[in-house]
Amino acid sequence: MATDDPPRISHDEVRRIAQLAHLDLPAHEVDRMARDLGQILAYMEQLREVDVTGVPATSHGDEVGIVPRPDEEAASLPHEIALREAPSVEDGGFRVPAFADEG
Amino acid sequence: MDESILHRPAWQIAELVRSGEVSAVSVTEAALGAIQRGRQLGAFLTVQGDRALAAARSVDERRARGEALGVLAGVPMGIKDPICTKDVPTTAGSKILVPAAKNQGEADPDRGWRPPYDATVIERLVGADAIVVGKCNMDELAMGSSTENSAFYPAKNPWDPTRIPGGSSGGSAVAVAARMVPAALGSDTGGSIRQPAALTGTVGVKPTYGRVSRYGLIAYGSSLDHIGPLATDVRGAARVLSVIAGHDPRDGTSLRAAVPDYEAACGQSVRGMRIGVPAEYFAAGLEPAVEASVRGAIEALARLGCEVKPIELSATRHAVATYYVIAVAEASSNLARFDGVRFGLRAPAKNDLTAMYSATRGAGFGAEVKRRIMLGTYVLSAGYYDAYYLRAQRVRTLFRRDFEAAFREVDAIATPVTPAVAFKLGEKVDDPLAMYLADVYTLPANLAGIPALSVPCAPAPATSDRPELPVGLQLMGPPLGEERLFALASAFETTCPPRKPPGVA
Repeated sequence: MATDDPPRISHDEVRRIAQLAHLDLPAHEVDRMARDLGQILAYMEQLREVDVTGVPATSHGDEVGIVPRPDEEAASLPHEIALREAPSVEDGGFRVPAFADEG
Repeated sequence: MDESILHRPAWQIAELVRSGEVSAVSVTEAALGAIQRGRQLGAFLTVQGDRALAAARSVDERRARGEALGVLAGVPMGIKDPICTKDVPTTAGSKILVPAAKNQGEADPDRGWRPPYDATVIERLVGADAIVVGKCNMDELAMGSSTENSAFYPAKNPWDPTRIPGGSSGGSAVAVAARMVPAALGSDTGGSIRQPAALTGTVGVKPTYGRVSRYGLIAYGSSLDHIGPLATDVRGAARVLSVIAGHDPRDGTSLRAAVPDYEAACGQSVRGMRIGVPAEYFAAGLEPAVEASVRGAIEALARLGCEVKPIELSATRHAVATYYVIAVAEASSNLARFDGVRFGLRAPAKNDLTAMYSATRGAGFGAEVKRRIMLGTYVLSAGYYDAYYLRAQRVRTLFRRDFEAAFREVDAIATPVTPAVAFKLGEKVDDPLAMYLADVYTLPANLAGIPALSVPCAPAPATSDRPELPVGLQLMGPPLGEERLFALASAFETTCPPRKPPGVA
């Protein structure tokens, strides 16, 4: 795909996607990300040319033979093991910063 | 220390340990010595010498008591690092799974996340008396084709250490190629077992989707992810697959079909098998030396009595676009779990939850992972979902149809694994699209969920600017067609025996 195609992803759009993805992107990475995404998405445009009229979607390589296991009670991870790798613990739970008021 | 035992294939080492001719401890010591001597190749992120020796002693003691040993008795194995090993550091090649420490210098994989459980494949290997010696280097979170995206250090190709070993299971391939271990586990989402196997002259197998449990595999693209073996020879890979394959109620996509004896398929006649050769896999961009080697391998199959015929796989040219839309979409969803709350890294000094998430993920992920999360978020976002993700899933159906039609005409398909031999470290680091385009021959098997393997064919001859370098032959089969692939690969292997890199004497 030609690299001299105009970038189709603006810096503002990169920042918006990064926010959706919960990903801090330092200012100096935004320009590079915009170029990379623009180039890769331009390549992916070829999918528009494919005739998929009446073709259903495939979500897995093999959808045959997949059967849910019986819904039975079973032992789960002991509490202290579940917490042992947590960056911060308080009162037997995962400690996190206060929720932001996004209202 | 006698490391020559490591030049024997995995199945043979197991038989020698089972018969008492060599001890599991001596094989494990040899492996630990070879890993230590080859550490500049960057094959391992974590080596578990004490644990491995303790496990080996236990195998030897059980034999001394007259107990029957498993089919991988005393076989030292490397495990790709996204596969969870209970209490043993597991980073998937990423700093996001290495907790922040006071006085922190470079992030150290030995301080990585300690999983609370073993992956199903680890339980099965240990149940067969294999010895887990360590965790293998990889592209971060399995995203990459060169192992240069490892957050810690790149792995290097033992055939030419200035070149990449492929990826993302590059560490596993290096460990096997350099005869540090006779077998290893890798994972393959778009070629990540077969491509490094091809570039390092080892055997790599991606089984049918669902054939091997993914329970305990840190997910990248769940509909595309597979675990499979790498080994020095076909029979060794077959033995490992026989151990790790089979239904697992903890993986909802795990298949219930009975597991055949893959090793028994090795050595079976391939006379009369119909081999399809798709022109789309020999198109522009295929390096002449690779083409010559793969065509030579197909001629060898014909001499073994196979019937070679041209087939058409017309969706192939859209493989890269289709795969990368689906894979990044699934990745952006799967990687949401890395949020600094329950395990791994948490970025400091942020006073609200959302800011903590973003700071942690910004600090913990490398450039390629960020790129794929961004792409995945984009293709799934409102207004673009139909144009990219849904459309790619529909094109994915065309890959299945291509293969279904082909396997009405032929028993297996033979192609190159990669368009070129191993490239130089650093050569493609700044061109992500070029890196993606080189995956074109391995992606279709993941999109369709069919089994595929890479077996070494004649190496590309040395030229003025490079030494002799390995080339892989890819064999693809219909769903659950692994046995015929092993029969073909082992028959071919008799015409082209495994080679060792220079310096691995």
